[in-house]
Amino acid sequence: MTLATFAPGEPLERVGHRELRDKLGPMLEKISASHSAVEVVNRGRSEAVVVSHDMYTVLLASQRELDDVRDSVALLLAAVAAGAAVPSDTLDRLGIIIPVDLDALQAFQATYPVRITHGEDGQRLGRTPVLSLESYADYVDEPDEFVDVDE
Amino acid sequence: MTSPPPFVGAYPPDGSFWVPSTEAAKYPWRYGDLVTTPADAKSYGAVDSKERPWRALMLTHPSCELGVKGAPNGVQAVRVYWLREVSQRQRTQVILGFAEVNGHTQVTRANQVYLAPVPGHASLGERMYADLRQTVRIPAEVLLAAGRVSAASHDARLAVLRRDVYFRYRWALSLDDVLSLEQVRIESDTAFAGPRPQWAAARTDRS
Repeated sequence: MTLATFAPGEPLERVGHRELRDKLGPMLEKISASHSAVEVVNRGRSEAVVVSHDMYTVLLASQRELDDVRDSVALLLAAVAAGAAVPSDTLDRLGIIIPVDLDALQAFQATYPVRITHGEDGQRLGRTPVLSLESYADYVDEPDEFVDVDE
Repeated sequence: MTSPPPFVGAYPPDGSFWVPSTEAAKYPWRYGDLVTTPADAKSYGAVDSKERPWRALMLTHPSCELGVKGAPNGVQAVRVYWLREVSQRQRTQVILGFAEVNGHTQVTRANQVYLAPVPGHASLGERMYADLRQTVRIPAEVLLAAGRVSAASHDARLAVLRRDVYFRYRWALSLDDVLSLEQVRIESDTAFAGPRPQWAAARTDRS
């Protein structure tokens, strides 16, 4: 499924509170099956949009993609300004060639905080869980009673 | 943390990568240090396909065993290349550790760790990289006799650790994650040898 399911400029089907309450089950089935969306209105004012779960997932992913692109555009602009030849498919496609200056590149990378979004095989990286380090100090020193099998 | 590392990217600036040679003696051998390839490199498999010794070795052995425990089964190390031995494209990927692909920032060359030039060194005074895939084990006494080329700065070790963790486990830790872990570890280590990093002073609140 893609965002194309939402036709730009095409008005959404609208339902009022009462109608939504009365037809909730069939309406949710319809939304889920058609991947469509319904606008919920109250006294003529739009209050919510109900979308299928699949469409919600697509919307979230699209937002994430947009965040990535926004970050990488900022990165590429900064790299170009610094004369740092960041390897880039986008710059290659645009025919923008930055002469390779390893000194400039090394200096640039040290000062530019890049958010790596994808792993080496192209898969999206998940968020690193927040680590709890409060009790770490208790485990730093090996207790004497441990047996070292190497000795 | 009293003073953060002088970098926010994948690696520190070249000038902060190695401990200055005049201070190196204060630093015990540790993970991430650059070591001379022993003269009898072939005995340990530290030679290329034409049986020429590797340019150098980077220690990947746990630091604690390089001290009092003595690394009884040999010290783990990996092969070091000159950066100019690879293509221009690969050089940029090694220095950054990522590339921009379709609007994403994607890890590149996960097994390769950038190493800065060692100031004033005849053959290693140029950019290098270590290949985490090409490992050897060499007796500690052999490596000690061969000698250490340069001690990695504490900041550089953060970068090497981060790279190694991604390569081995695919844990994409941020620099801040690795820094926090190292900070807690070093601050809590009352037997820490040599100068401490500026970002990990000794803790005084241990009971």
